[in-house]
Amino acid sequence: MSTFKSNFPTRAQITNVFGVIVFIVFTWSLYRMTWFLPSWLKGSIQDVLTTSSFVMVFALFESLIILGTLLLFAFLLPVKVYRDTFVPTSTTLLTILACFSVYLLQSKVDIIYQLELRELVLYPILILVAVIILVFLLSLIFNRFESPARIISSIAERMTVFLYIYLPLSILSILILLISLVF
Amino acid sequence: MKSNLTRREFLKSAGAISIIPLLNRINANKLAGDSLSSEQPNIIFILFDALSAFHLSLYGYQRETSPNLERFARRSIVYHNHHSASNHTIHSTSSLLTGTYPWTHRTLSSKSPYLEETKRNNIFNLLGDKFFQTAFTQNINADKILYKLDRYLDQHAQHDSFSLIGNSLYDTFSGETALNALSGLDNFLFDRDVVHGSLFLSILNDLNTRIGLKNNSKELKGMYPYGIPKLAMSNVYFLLSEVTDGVADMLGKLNSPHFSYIHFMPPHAGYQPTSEFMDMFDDGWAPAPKDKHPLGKKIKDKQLNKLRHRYDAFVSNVDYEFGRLIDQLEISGLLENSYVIFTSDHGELFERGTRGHVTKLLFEPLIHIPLLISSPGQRERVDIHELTSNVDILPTLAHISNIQKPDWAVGEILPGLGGAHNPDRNVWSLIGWFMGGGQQSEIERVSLALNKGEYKLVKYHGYGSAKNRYEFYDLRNDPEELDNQYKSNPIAKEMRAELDQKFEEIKSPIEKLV
Repeated sequence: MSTFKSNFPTRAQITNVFGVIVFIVFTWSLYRMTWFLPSWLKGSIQDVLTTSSFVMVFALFESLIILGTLLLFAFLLPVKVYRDTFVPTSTTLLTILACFSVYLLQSKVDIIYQLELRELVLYPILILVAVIILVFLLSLIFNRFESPARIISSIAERMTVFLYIYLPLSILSILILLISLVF
Repeated sequence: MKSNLTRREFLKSAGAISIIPLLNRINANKLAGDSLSSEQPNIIFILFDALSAFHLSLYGYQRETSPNLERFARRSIVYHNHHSASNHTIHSTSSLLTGTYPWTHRTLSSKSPYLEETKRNNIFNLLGDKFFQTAFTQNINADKILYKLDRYLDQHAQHDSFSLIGNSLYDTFSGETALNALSGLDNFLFDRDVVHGSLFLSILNDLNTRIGLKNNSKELKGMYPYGIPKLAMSNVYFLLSEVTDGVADMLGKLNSPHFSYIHFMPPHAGYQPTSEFMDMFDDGWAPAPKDKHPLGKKIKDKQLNKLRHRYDAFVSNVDYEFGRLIDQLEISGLLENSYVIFTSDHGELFERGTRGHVTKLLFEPLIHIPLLISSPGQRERVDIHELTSNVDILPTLAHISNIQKPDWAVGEILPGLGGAHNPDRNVWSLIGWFMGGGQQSEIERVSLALNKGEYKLVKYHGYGSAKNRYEFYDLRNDPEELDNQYKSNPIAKEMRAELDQKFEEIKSPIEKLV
């Protein structure tokens, strides 16, 4: 149990990283919502609220999945590699992956539908390997150079403000869904 | 064939909602056969989306697109002048299921809730316990309509039944609000035609979908040059042949008598026939170009002809699959003891700068749809040339089920199945939009067509480039609607009085309607 706990980041570290995740995921969802809102507004107010609530709840779900994945990494990888630099490494990793995802979604997502089967299996494995290597590299950099680690950690700490915005929004959305769908 | 359960269960459990059971669409209390008469024939209603009569060789089209339909016609009543109440699925399907025109059921968008009267006044409620009632549609908009009438159905197959792979959330929970909201979420997360709303998980979903598609790569390699068909507004992929076989199998397992409403997506856009149909019409033929309409788009004729070519190939594909379906019904014995109805919800246009059916226009290719009805034991072809409408379907089905035509249904029993021949009847088609107050408010912008005998008058009202525009065509002498005789033909003035009166009635806010 103590080994399990010692592999895990602290609560403060998890909170900071979750703030970054929530900022990235929710901001993207809200940005995309502006695209869909004109067509949603043709429905009733209840429909608009319920649809938006589903989007928010899904964003929360996505955020939790990502956090869970990072915590799994933290548990599986050596302590010195990831846990010790959990905040700056995760923040940098998330930023890089988010940029890649945005690029893929905005211009290249159709590429997925052009890949052959072995490419579809191989490329994600390669990406996973690249992510693991990146984690090692980043932790090496942040262990060696404290200044960038501190700067990125402080940015991540400031991102926690978004938890105070988006999490209540998510809870409100859950309530709206319960009212809309159950009562 | 895909399995829905794992992915849907995962998404349901992962969401914040922990309750709400999945809607039980099989009414266990209604055991098929309990109150059903074995003497009543089945009614199998087969509809293909966006199939225009103008593109069927059965109705005289230049290209040989429908040999199987012509084979079926040999034992059917063929209605040559059948019209849809609208050029859009939502309006048209609601008219078909309720026997009323769009200004009565007022379902002018996928988000329009059904009025209380419409929820009661529909074909499923009317047929009641006489049949085991089954419905299946691949069209999400039509499926939402079926969910509004779900309480009358004994079996409601999910819209992605018999599909290859894909995700769809909208029918996870019951209720209109959930339907509309989850449909919005489906588009937001999964629709391939727009940038996804989820930054990470939607990419994984695309990957998963593609892997699923490629798992069938040997079988599908080269089969679909324009890509595997996809249900509109979703990322659900299907093979028409598998859907046909799935439907035939489903129909074969139903206890008689059953009323089965089956709505296939093809030949709706994106026009994705299999490779064996692709080269069928490399004949260099193109129809004579027509002037662009002020309310149409500005697509060039060359592009329209390319799309028309793909559409015609897809229509041939549809015809082939319909032929296979009929053969399977014949083998199973269903054809002999069923009314089999073949039709469409609306047509498709490839002229005047416009393609598709999402348009303000109401030219004949958009609203003139096929209708063939084969009665049990019928061996001879009968041709009916009078004007008919898809609002006639409900009264006709009631009649053949020995149910009195309800007062609220405005259609007439079809000639050939007990109805009178009426060459002077009015048949209406409408596409319209409400003002800001929703479906109880005034219908603001509208295209309204009156077909009467061999003449047609169309009114376009409330559009920026056509505040009040009339067009009149003599369809007997000008079936291509090239010569607008509104100003020269005296019959136009007579019909205008009638059309304008109807227009004043229908555009009113709902509380003023009888």
